[in-house]
Amino acid sequence: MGTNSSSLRPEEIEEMQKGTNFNQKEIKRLYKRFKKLDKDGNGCITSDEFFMIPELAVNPLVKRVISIFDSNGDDSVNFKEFITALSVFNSRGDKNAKLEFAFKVYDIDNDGFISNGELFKVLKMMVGNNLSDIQLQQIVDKTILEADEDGDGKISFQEFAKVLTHTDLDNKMTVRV
Amino acid sequence: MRASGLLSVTPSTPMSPAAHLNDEQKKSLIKRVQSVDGFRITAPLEKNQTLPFVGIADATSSFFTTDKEQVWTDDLRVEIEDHIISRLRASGQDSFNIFSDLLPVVVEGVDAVVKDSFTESFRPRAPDAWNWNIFLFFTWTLGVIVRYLVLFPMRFLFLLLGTLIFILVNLILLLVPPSKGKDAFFRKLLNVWSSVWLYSLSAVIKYHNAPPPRRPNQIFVSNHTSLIDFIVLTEHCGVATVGQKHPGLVGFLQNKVIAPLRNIWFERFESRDRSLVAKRIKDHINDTTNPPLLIFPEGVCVNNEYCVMFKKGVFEIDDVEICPIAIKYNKTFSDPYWSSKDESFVGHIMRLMKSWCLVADVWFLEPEKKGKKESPIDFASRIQKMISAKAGLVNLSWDGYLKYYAPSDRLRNERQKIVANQLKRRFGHLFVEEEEEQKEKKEEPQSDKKNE
Repeated sequence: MGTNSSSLRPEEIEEMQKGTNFNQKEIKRLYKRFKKLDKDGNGCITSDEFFMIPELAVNPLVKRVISIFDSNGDDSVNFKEFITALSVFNSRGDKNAKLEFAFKVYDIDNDGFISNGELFKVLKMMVGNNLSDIQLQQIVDKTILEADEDGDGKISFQEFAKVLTHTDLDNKMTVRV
Repeated sequence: MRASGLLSVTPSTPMSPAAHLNDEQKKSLIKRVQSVDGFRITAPLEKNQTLPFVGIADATSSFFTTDKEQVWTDDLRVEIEDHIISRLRASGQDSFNIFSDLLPVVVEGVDAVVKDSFTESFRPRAPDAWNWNIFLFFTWTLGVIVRYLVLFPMRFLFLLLGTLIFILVNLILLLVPPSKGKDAFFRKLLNVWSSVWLYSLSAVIKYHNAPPPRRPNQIFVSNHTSLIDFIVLTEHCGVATVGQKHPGLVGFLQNKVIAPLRNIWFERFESRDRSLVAKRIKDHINDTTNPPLLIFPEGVCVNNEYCVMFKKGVFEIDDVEICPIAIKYNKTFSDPYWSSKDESFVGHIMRLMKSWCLVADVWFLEPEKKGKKESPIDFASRIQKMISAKAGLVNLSWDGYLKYYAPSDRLRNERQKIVANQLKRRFGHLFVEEEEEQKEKKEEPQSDKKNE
């Protein structure tokens, strides 16, 4: 049994344990899942392979989530990226890391700020054509206005963190592995 | 969803009390408090949706998954809603924060990366390793020897012999001109042959209740795990079926051997034939001399732990009497789930023959008819729930054909609508102002003109 899970070498697992919040068992389990998602077995999951999961494919933010997983930007997710990203959602995960992940969802160009345009793009993904662009722009403007303290018209990570101070991130951003 | 106590709630169409709130408000309420209560929306399917391959698939509306043992009813759903609403009032949280309130969409995505109920539905059970110490290992080895070297050859020879005799008798039957007596004889023969199959699998099948007596317009529907389902029911009550054409050995069995049952076969991707198939089904069930028709409305084999969406197809037929059958296999000795992608039929049967036995419960449930105001989709969903409840399966509203197709954008749009409604509710006052402003702007130039 378990022929798939044994292809991770013990030292590899140990190294991954250090880099993430997962224990050995969880890493093995995630590796199995990774292999399942990696349909062509080339060692990385492409967007197309992610889209094979219906539950994920219908998620409006799936593209943002995948691009955050893909930290080296090669349009696919290898196992290291896979567990590094998931590690954030571990119950033992660091609150700041969770906050960073949430921030990255909106910070599309990765410049450390959520601009008006970026927030608009993300909200557009979330609502599709069910709100008009004018309505959406109003929401964006209002949100930025409320969060933007230094008045530069965009939201920095600190400002973002402040907005979410009262949010129970440990609870909200935890996924059972 | 794993039976981990995680509860998935999809607020769905007709929802009773909490009269002071409309559906939209309720939906957004549930959405908003899901983190508070640990509820979580897993599948975003809310309304009936149709997938690109016309007509084959329509989703059922309501969708509820929870721990296997618990069966949730609509009453319970209402109760949960009320609970959520009162929780929300108590917490008095009126402030809305885009970033935190839309977080669940992200988390749902990540959750689906880790584990999704759809993939789970088609996952074969990994064998439990219990031979972990020296004594057990010895016992286990002994078992392997018995199973592989004693039981398997015996069973295989028995099946081979039975099949040879079956073929021989069939060849002789070819010489006999077609008649009713011949058909009856053939069906009897088929029953015997199915028992040969079941004996060679050491099947221990417990039937609960008797199959309903043959009446016109009657269709048996059952959950689907493997072709074994068909053998099990053929042995017990001689059924015909509608199904997918298979290549290889199974194809040969379908076309030649069991032809007198007047089964209806079609290609999975053949949507053009659908009206023809429907007509043939109707003709078949109206003629009571035909064996009862067995349909697997899931359309795919599922691992017998989940039950995917029942397609509305046969539930649309006028005045049809649906006889639900729930089949639950006991996976202690072997996993009877047939994943036709990973395993050939011969390989599947061989694997089962090498295990100790095949244990299953079969329940014949009360026949049901479609309610006057009930849509075929709701009817299909009701029957699906009945079967899932009886067999202890987790009910899902995912279409099994998503195994072969990527879901359409329309499904995502359903999800987006929910978010949009949520935003509308929160920021609605902005929009109203905007509209008024626009109106004012439009009116202004006119008044200007008048002034001039």
